[in-house]
Amino acid sequence: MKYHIEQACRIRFASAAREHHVQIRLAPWDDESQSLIRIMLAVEPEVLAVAGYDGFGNLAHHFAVLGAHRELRFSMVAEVETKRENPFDFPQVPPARELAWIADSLRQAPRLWDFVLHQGVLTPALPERIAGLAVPGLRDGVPLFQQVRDAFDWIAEIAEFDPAAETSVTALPALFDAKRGTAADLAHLLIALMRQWRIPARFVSGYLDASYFDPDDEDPPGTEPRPQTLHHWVEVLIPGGGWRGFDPSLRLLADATYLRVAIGRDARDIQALRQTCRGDGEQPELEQTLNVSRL
Amino acid sequence: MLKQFQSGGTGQLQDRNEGPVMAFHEFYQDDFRPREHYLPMWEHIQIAGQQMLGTKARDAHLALHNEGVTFTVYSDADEGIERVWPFDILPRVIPAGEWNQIEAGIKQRIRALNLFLKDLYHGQRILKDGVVPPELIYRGKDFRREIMDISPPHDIYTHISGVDLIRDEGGRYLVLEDNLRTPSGVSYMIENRIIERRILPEFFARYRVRRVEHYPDLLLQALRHLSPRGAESAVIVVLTPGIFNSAYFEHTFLAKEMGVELAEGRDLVCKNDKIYLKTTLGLRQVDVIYRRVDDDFLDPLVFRADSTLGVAGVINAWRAGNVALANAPGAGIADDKAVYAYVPDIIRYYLGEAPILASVPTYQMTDPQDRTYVLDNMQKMVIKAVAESGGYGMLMGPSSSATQRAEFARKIEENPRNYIAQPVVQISRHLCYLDGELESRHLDLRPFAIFGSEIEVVPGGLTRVAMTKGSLVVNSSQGGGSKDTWVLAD
Repeated sequence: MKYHIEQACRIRFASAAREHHVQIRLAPWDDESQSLIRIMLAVEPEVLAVAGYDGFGNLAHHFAVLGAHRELRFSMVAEVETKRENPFDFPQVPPARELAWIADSLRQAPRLWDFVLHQGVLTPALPERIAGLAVPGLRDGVPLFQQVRDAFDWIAEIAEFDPAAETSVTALPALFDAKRGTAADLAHLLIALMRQWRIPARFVSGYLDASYFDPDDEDPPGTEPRPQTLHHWVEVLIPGGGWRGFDPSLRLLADATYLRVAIGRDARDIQALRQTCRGDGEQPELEQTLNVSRL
Repeated sequence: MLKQFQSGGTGQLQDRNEGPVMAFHEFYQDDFRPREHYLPMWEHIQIAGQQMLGTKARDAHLALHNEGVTFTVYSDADEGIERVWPFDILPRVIPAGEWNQIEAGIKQRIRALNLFLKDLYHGQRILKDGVVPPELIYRGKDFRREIMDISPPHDIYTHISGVDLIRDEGGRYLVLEDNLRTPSGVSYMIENRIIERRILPEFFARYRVRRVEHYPDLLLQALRHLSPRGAESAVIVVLTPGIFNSAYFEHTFLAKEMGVELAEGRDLVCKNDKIYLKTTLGLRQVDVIYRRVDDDFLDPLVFRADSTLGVAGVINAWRAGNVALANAPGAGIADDKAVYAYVPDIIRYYLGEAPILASVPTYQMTDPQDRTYVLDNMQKMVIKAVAESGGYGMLMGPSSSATQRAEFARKIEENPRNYIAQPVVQISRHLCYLDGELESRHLDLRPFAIFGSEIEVVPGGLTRVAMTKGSLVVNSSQGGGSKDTWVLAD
C-alpha cells in the first residue's frame, strides 16, 4: 500500500531563544517491509537540515537556529510503500527449535542483545505478580508467535489502552496503578515481558493508516475522526520470521497499515523530537499535526 | 622485614615502617642494601644528611603552593576541597631495561584495545567468535550504542591513555587498570619534574633521566594529526566542564602549554555539522576537541538531555567527520573493570601475540561460582564498581568494617555486572620523606601514552603514593600523594 504523510510542528517560546538545536526522528524506514519513495523537510526560519542514521539505524534529521527567535516550524512530507500484507507469511520453525533459533540469531548478530538485556524505568524486570495476576512464563511446545499474541490478553487485564491519554511516557509501576495507558506504555509492558523470557523485543514508533482514527460504532453519528498521532508498538524477533510487529494497544499484528519510523530499546532511545536551546529556560509550546492518507 | 636505613654519621635516618612482609621494595634489595640504581641517590643522602631533605621538602611544598598546583578532593557530605598537590621529594627510579618492557607492554595493550573498540562499534567479530561475552558488553554502562558504525579519524579511539601499573610481591609489573576515557594526572607528572629539577639538581647530576616535559608537544602533535582540515591549519580546543571539576588545574595547564584555547561547552556552537568557537572576531571553526567532559555530558541531543556542559550537535559533527574528538566517545567500555579480565584474550585475538604485561586475577561477579567465593572471602579482596574510577565505589577488604562488607555484598547481589573482585596485591613500596622521617609507603605508576601517527609512551609517569601507613589506596582523590618518576636513559 502507498501512503502520503504530512507532519507539521510549531515550537513557540514565551521569550526569545537562541542556539536552538532540534533533532527529529519522523522519517519512515526504508527496508524489506517498506520503501521510502520520497521525503522532504522544510524548516522556518530557513536553515539547513541534515539527515543521518543513528546508532539503531533510524533516519534522523537535525537542524539549528542560532539567532534569537520565538518560533520555529518544520514540516515533513513523505511517501511510503508498505509491503507486509500478511503478517503470518513466514516459514514456521518447530516450537522445540525456536529457542535454538533465537540463540543462533544472537550469536550471528550480537547487536540483538540490546533488545534482550536492556532494562530500565520503562522496561523493568517484572515482579512475579502484577495487579494480582501472575506474570506468564514462556511455555514449551507453543509457538512463540502465539504466545506473544496471548500476552495481549494478559496486558489488557492489567491496563486498558487509552487513546486520549497524554503521550508522555511513564514508568511501568505507574501504569499498574493507573490501569490505563498510552500505546507506548502498553508497548513497554509487552517488551518487559519478552525480555523476561529473554526474547529480543524492541520499541517501535510509527504511523497508522488513517482509518484507525475513525469514530467507533459506539460514537454518535457525525463524530469527527480523532486527530492522527504517532503510534507505538513492539517488534519481537520471531523464529523463521525475523522482526514481526505486535500492537498490544489495538491488539493487532502490524501489517501493511503500520508504517515504521523508528526502533529502539524503549521510547527514550527514539524520541521523535529532541531539542535544546539557550534562553530563559521556559518550556516551549508545541503544536503538531499529522496527516497520513492512502494513495 | 626491613633493615633500618642507616645514615652516614647522624644516625637519624631510619625506616620505621616495616609494613607487610610480602610487598616488593623498590629501594631495597632482599639483603636490605639499596638497589643498584638507587646507590647514587643513597650516597648523596648519606653525605648531605637528613636536614638537607627537610629543607628540600619544605621548598617543594612552598613552590607547589606558590604556583597553585592543587587538586580537589570530594567526599559524600562536603563540597570539593582544594589542596596543595602532595609531593614526596625522593624520586622513583626505573632502569632502562625495566622501562623497555613497560613501554612495549603498554603499546601492545593500546593497539589491541583500539582494534577492540573499532570492532565493537562496527562488525563485532570478537563477540561473534565468542572471545568476549556479548552480555558483558551490552550490560556495560560505558558501551555507547549511539555511536555504532561511526568511524573516528584514523580509527583511533584512545588518543590519550593512562595505564595503571603495580608491582606484585615478586617485583613483576602488572596492569591494574586501563584509563581510556579522560585520564588525568599528566600535569602533575610534569609539575613534579619541574619542582624536582629545581629542588634537587644534585640528584639529577648523578643520573641520566629521560625527559617528560615534552608531553604537551607530543599531545599537540597527536591532536593535529586528527584534524580533518589538515594538521597545519588545525584549530584545537581543550573542552573543560569548568572550574568545579577536580582536574580543572590540568585542563588549564594543558591548554596553556599547548597554546590552544580552553573552552567550556557554552563557548562552542554547532552549525551545519561543524563546530565553532565563539570569539570576539566571530565564529572560528574548530577541528579537534580534546574533551575532558565525560561521554554522558558531551552532547545533550544524544546523551544526557539535561547536560549543560557539552555541545549540542557535537556527535553529529563528529559523525560527519568535521571535527575530531579525543578521546572518542564510547572508549570507556574498553576500560570497564569487567572487560579488563578479557584484555589478555583481546591481545591474543587481534594481535596474535602473548601479552607482555600481566594482569591481576579478576573474579566476575556475574559468574555464580566466582561470586560465592568472593562473598565468602571479602576480607581478602578488593571489590570495585566496574565503571567507577579514582578509588570511588571500592571496598578494600582487609581494612573494611563488617557493615561495609554487608553493604557491598548487598550491592553485588543486586547488580552483579556492576562489580568485580581481585585478590589484594601487596603492591610495592618505596622510601618517602614524611614529617622528617624516612618511611616506606605503597605506590603504583601511571605512565601516559599518546596515540597519534604512532603510539608514544612518555618515559615516566605519575607515581602515586598511599600516604597513610600500610594503606594500599594511592588515588589522589583518596588522599594519595606522588613522586617524580625517573626513567633512566641506559
